[in-house]
Amino acid sequence: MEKEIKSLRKIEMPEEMKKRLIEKCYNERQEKTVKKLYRKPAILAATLAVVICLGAVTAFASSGKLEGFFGDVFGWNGAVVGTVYENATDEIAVEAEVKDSVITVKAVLLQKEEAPYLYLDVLGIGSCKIIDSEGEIILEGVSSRKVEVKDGKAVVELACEELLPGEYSLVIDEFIGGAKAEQDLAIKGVWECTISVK
Amino acid sequence: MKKTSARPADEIEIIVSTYADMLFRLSLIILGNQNDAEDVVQETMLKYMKKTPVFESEQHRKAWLITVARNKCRDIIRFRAKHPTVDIDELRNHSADNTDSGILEALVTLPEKIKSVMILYYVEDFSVKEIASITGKTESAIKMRLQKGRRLLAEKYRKEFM
Repeated sequence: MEKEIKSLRKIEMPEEMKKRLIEKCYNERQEKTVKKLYRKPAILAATLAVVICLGAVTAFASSGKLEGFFGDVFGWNGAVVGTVYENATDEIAVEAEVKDSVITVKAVLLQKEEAPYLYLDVLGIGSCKIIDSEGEIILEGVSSRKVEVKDGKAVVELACEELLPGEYSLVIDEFIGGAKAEQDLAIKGVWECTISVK
Repeated sequence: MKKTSARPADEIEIIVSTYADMLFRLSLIILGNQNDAEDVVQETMLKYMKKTPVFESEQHRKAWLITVARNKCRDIIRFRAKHPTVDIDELRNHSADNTDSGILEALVTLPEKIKSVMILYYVEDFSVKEIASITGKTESAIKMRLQKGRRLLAEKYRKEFM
């Protein structure tokens, strides 16, 4: 009996089957390698995309150019009670000079063909401060009346009788824009000018 | 061949040439069907390529392959009808000569857990200890299965073929 069973050792896998088997194993290994290769370009592409995006953001930030955007003003109960325009620093150019105890501020709307500037009829200073050469805030919360906007330009006046002769910094952090039959729009940013009082 | 991380091209061919016959024999006798036996050997080898396990010794590798093949055979049996289909002519084709076909046919009809042990012991020359390790059974359990297998085989073989 044992001899008969041991004779079964002669059973072998046909050669053709072995060849098919080897081929299948090679294909399997090939697929694994190809999948890894496909993963690499995909990872590379994703990394490049992130780098490009980060580069774009960095370039944008380093160029110093900010874009304004509308924001909501919330009441005490969380309800939206108004609109504000933020980050407008690079959209309005400001120059200032002092003459006869009056600070004249010339504001140029650099994007006068775009909102919100397109719709402004009048513009005034909503809030500003005057800082002396030692960094001391001399005047704060100063505002002006609104003046007509002509061809994207507005000339606003601030009284400065209290200022002693010397160099000062005028820092404007808010303009107020207005249009007929519209609620005033606060335009926020940071505009700084050096003024000399003689 | 201790490392499984040998050059892929050489390793595939070495593994197939060394173990394919053994796995085929085992699967053919358990399942009684050449196509199923080929599937089992193929699945076992592919699993080997995918998993790339690390072995302590050649015996360890052999035992791993056998265990995987047996498990594959059981999976196939579970999906079949209660009694495996046996193509007598197909089995005869695999015998070295026709006088041996009777033992093969008789062996195929034995319960799987008995014929596996019979094949590993008598055909593949594993020791009782090694078979116990592969199957996860005690040595005395293996010895009992061998004893039962010999008895059943003798009854069938003598009854039908002698």
